[in-house]
Order: sequence, then C-alpha cells, then structure tokens
Amino acid sequence: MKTEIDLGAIERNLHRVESATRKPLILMVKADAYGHGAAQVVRATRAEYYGVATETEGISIRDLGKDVLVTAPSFTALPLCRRYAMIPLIGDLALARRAIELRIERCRIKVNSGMNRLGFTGEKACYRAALLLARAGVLVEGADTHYKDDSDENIAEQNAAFRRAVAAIYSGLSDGGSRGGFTTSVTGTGALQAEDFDYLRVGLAAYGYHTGYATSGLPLEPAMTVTSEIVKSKRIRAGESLGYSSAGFRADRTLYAYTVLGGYADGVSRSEIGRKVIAAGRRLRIAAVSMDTFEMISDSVDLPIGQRVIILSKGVDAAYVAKMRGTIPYEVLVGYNTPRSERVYVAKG
Amino acid sequence: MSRKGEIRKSIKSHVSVLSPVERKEMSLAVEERVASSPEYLRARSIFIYHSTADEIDTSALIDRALSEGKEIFLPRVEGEDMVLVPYRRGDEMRVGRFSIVEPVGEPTPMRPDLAVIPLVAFDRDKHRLGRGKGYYDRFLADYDGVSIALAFSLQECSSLPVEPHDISPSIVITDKETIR
Repeated sequence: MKTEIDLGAIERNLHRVESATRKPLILMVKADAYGHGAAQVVRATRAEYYGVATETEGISIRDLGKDVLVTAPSFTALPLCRRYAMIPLIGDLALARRAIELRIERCRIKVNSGMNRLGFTGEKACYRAALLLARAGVLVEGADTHYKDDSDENIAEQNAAFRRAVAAIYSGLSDGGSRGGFTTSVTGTGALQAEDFDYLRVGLAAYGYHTGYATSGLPLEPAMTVTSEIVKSKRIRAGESLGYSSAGFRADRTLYAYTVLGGYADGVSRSEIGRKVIAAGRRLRIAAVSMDTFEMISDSVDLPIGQRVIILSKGVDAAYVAKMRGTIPYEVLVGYNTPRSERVYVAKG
Repeated sequence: MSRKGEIRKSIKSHVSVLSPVERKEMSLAVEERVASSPEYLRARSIFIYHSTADEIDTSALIDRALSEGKEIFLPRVEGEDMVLVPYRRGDEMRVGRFSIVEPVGEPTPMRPDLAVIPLVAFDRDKHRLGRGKGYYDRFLADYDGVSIALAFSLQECSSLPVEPHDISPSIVITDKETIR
C-alpha cells in the first residue's frame, strides 16, 4: 500500500480556515498529525502553536523549534514538559500541584465546557487552580477549551460557560499576584462566533475534512490518498466463498474477484467490508479483509494484476469510509498510518 | 402478491390517472421546491434520475441545474449496479434496461453532493418504496451525501413495510410539501 500526503493541500486548508476565522492557529499534530506525519506537517506549515496529546510525542516537535502545547499531560510524563520547555494544559488540581512540585515554569488551564473529558469544571474550580498556580509562581499563559460538538446549536451556551470560566481564572491569577500575558483558545465554531477569543484550535479541518458549522462553507481538500494494487485476479462461481471465514462472503453468482494488497495490518479494517474502492474508474465492493490483503469483487469489470486500486481519495474519502464503518474520519485517517505503508510527501497546486 | 407489490400496484393506478398537464404542473411545483432548498443551492454536483412517464418529470430540473453551472450525473444500469455518468446537454443517450433512457458515456466513480431519486410510494417517516429491483437502495448504501426523493403527493401511504436493506432518503419533496 502507498500513502501519499499532499502538504500543499494542508497549507491551503489552513489558509482558508485562517482567512475565515481571522484568528491565529493552534495546529493539532497529535497522533502523528492525524496519521499524516507530524514532522513533515510541522515543517510545511506556520502555526503559533502545535498541539500534541502527550509529552513524548511533543519532543520531536520541540526539536523542530516550535512551541508545543501538551493537551493531555500525565502525572508520570509531566517532567518532560519542564525538560523540553513544552506547555502543558493543566485540567486537574492534582496535576496543578504536580506541576508546582516539578517547578514547571509555564502552563495553560484547560476548561471543561461540556465534553466532560479533560479540564476544570465550573468557575470555582477554575479560580482555585489559577490562584494555586499563580501563588506558586507558575506563569499561566492562557485558557483553552474543546467544545463537545462543533456543530452544536447550543454553541453560544458553551461560549458563555467558557467566558465565565476565563473570568474566574483572571480573578484567581490576579488574587495570586500573577503578571503576564494571557490568551484564550477554542475549537472551530466557538472561534467563529466569538471575536474575543484569541486562537483557533484546528485539527481535522487542516487535513481536509469538515467537523461542523465552522468549516462547512470552506472548500477543504483531503490531504491523504491511499492506493494499492491487485496481486491476484480470478473468477469465483456461485456458492464459493472468499477469505478465511466460511461465514464471510459467499458468491450468489459468477463474479470477478481480486486480491488487493492491504489488510487490517495496514489499516484496512474488517469493518470496511461492504464499502467501495475505486479501480479503473469503477466503484468495486470490498468483500473480505485479511491481515495483508482484501478481496474486491465485480460483476463485469475484468482487471489485470498490477491494476492500481484507490482505497482513500476523492470519491472514497475518509468521511465516506467512516460512514460505512460506523465511525468518524479521525479513526479512519490515523488507522492508515502503519509502518508497512510506503509514504510519499508531495506539494501539489 | 406481497404487501409491497400491492402498494406498488395501488399507487401506480393513482398516478396513471394524472393527465399530462397535471403531471407537468406537479413536476414544476416539485422543481421549485427542490431549487429553493438549501441542499440544492449548496450542491455543486447532482446525481439525478432521468424520469419515466409515471415519475416526477426531472427534465426541467436537469436543464436548470446545468444552466446554473452544476455538474449533472445520470444513472445507467450495469449488471446489479447503477453507475453514474456525467451528463451535458446534447450527450448521446440510448434506451437501456427497463426502458429507461440512459447516457452512453464513461461512468465516474465519484459521488455527487446531492442525489435526486425517484420513488413509487412514501410515508410520513420518509420510508421509500421503489420499483423493487433495489438499485437505489444499493446506491444509497454507498452514498454519504444528502438524498432527495421526488414524489407526487398522491404517492403517499399511511405506512410502508420496511426491510433491513431499505434505505430512506434524507428528504422527500412533493408538489405540496417538503418532508425533512
């Protein structure tokens, strides 16, 4: 399998988002830039901050000389933030105490605005955290939140909750004697609807997929293309099965069947059975998936060994695959990032 | 005859009594509703069926969409599948299986922003009954965009029998209303 990443598409997507929101960006490059290759994406783009989930994955981005936000810092790995001058998003009082104990110099405060994943919930908790950190001399550079649903119609409510939390953090910092700049960041929709937030945290949109209202009008370009080739071409008759499960696909008529390189070890999930791929300009169905290959069938299209097969691209993009798999595009994109897949970076357009 | 078969027969008999003028007027009313819908206005590419005598006439809608610079794809039956063929005014057409006029050009593997599909009967819950061959159900199973089914209001049934392979359109538009 071959994965082609169009770095030009990522640059253009970021430019479109930046133009639409008129905000500087925090570009999320966690999980190897959503499967696109973090080092290459960072080198090809210019964002104010780069966001990772863990301290470990932030180190290579720091090595490129970029400012790194760690969005899910952990008790055990937090010392790496100090060693590599990365900025953790503190969202728990125990973690705040740990940061103080480790003499972390800079941090941001993570606010829970409804997702109930990470962050402080409510004004009181935000105030206490800000006060504690400020009194200990930790520079709190800002506050961030991730809305629970980018397409949520109640976004104004979430914006208001975040504003209240920010006000409480300000009070805590002021009472704790903190001095220094302070900025706020939110995810897509919130930034569009609220001029007073400073940064836009952008993730999936950079890689070409819409997350909701915020980017719905923008012509985003998917940056990842996954292709492979037919390694065996055959005919199967009615009653014959494909793959190693007798409970799997069984032909009810004579069909062309093709074995294509790319199995679940390469990110082609068994939940992709039934979805289409593209070969010779036709949409052909995946009938079975094994570790290294999948089986593709057709009633009428006769294809040779070596024929290129498009697994992920326009027409069979990650939004389509996600719908067929019953998941979200994020999971599809990171899934195709495997050591066995040949990676090629281009800058088209 | 199955319940679906009975419904098809009954509804087709209602449609068959429509005069050409009535059919045209109803089709124009449907066209207006489609053309003013946000889904149509947003769509840059549209897959649309080429109508037969007992369906909402789509010829005016196809012309309108082409005039507005939208890409149009028409269906062609190939084996068990329906392929999508890009269409421009004056493209060569032929009568295919089921006596439906089909384009002869090369199909595209792309999927358009919007799909406009026919039906034989529908209900309030947007369940759709087709001709029974399953082509549109298989198309919709492989489609992740918005789909609009066009209908005469008299094709409505109180309740349609639904099977697991039946796929409902996102929207049903009739000469009288838009059901979302």
